Amino acid sequence: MDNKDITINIQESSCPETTMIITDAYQAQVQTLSQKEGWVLQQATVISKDDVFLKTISGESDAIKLLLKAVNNRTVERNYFKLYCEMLDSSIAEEEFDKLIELNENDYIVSETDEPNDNQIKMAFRLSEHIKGVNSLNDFTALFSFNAKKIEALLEKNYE
Amino acid sequence: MSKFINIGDTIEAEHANACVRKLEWKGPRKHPITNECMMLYESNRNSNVEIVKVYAGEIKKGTEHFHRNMGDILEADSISIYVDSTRREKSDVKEGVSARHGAQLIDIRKRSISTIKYPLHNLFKCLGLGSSVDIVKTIK
Repeated sequence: MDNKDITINIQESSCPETTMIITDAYQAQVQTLSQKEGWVLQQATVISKDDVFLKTISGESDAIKLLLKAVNNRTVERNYFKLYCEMLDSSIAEEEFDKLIELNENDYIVSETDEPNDNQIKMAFRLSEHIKGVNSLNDFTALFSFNAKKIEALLEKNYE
Repeated sequence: MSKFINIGDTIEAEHANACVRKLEWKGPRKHPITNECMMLYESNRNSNVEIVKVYAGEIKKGTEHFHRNMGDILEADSISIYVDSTRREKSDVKEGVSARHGAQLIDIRKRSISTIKYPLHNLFKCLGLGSSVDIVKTIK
């Protein structure tokens, strides 16, 4: 393959503590598996601290966990408003509404008890830029179940 | 009777009157300090909350710094109001409260805790976070 025709893309990784390197750009070769249509062998060398890169591509990263938490908390909020609507249109009695909330609090009220570290808070901020309906600190802490005091402590530290 | 305008200032009242440009009902939440399940409302423009009946109940641990005097007012853009209730509060819309805009008036007749919160966009700036940009270099 003529090296002049090779286009090499180098992307700065958004995965923490990982650098992606393509070794020796001028001699890099792209091999294509012709046996299966659409399958392409891609080669790269990755330098990563501990297992950070492997955890990222396997879905064990903090980002994935935060997003799963956010989805579940949105479901909890939706459950509450659905139940409230049922009470308003008299599908269920007010006493039944109060009882359901009291007995199944985790299904209807978001808990904000998690104490994240600084990196998790910063990652959550970055994720929240792309999530709808995060307009206030309360929206942010409810989305990721963060304890508001921890966020305020981080702010005080950054103000010093 | 005092006016509070700083971030973190909190008032606790048996009855309170709130005047806000826009109030959003956020649903039930656990109060971050008392851990009680309360109904949360948020205002985001030209808001004030005033104590009209003093809270005379038990002062819980962690709430000693709350202001509880008659006539104490919180004034800010972003106020979080926690109401000890399981039902949504009703508000009246009144036009001409300021020279240009109307406002929502809410008479809260349940125990409430109101706090001036950090605006979220300020938090981004404080932590030095902006829009993330992926850098792709192409070498030929």
